[in-house]
Amino acid sequence: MIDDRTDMGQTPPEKESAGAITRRRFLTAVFAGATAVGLSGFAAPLIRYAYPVLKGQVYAKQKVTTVSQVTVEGVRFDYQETPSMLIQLEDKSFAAYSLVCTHLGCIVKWEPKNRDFHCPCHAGKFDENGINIAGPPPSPLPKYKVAVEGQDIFVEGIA
Amino acid sequence: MKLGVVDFLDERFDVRRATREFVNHPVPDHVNWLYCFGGITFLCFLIQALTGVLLAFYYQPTMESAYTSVLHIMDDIPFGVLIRSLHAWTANIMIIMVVFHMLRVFFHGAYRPPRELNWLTGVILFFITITFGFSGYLLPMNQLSYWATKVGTEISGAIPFVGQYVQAFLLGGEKIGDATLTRFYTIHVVILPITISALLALHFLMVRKQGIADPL
Repeated sequence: MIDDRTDMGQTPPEKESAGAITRRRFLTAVFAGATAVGLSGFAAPLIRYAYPVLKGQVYAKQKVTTVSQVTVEGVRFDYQETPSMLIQLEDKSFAAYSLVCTHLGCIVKWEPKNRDFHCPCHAGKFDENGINIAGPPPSPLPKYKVAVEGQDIFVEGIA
Repeated sequence: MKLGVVDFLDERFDVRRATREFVNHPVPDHVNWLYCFGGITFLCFLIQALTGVLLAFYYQPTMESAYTSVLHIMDDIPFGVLIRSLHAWTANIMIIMVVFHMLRVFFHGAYRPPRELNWLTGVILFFITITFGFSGYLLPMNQLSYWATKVGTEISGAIPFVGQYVQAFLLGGEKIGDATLTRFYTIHVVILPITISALLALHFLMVRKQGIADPL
């Protein structure tokens, strides 16, 4: 080792016989491997970007609850990480909404007594159909498609 | 296996010698970090080409959907924010780097004979870069885009005698609309990229042939 260091650049390179792992080959392989890993790190986001967003993933069907479990309090659930609520309307049909306020994104609260959604941040109000009826919210709450199959209630995507 | 591929190419195209000559190309001693701006500009160009192609996957050049397609890229497409922000920021950085490169060449007097033609292609490349910026500015079709294009095209309309024709040609009509957008899009993604590639090739071939200018 010490000899190698003192006359660096003067000793002839190690002989490369077929298949033998020389220092040069080892370093070449390590460098090439590291470069490949680095480059694929750049390529991965680009490929993910170019690959389409598929409807099947966006509007996946999700079971929320069963009919018998729905009370006036509604059923709180998360749909694709969005806080959401399923309620039973006056006409006994079911409706489900995203609870993200359309004003500035606070989470609205279902008030069973008044039968409306109330936003704690700026006192916005939405009726049981999700329509913005008071305060600053500019548009209704996003509504989900609800499907009742036997006793099970499902949501699938924005209606 | 890797070496097998290199051997295959080497037998046919002599790639080892070509690579050796390319990477061992001598550079004069006086070269310092100030000489990097041209290369950085070219790197910016490569980033713009790559991210620009990716943006074209989702961008739609119509009055109705230009803005919403950009929102779609920003909000819904994975890494869309990254790709579009890279494109927008690199556009700004590229113009700054072009100016630095030009100042370096100017103050070193590197434009003097026999390198006049390289300076000339450089100036044209500068204007192409500016035109890239101007045409790309309209494409998101937000308020800033609209008014910048209105101001820009009206400036061209103020040119004596030919102004109104230039303005009509740029707008593709009497005011900013679908025709303007498709025109600017075509200029931005077809005409300018072809032109800049050809001129860049000339620019690089000339500096390769003549070498970097001697210091003052």
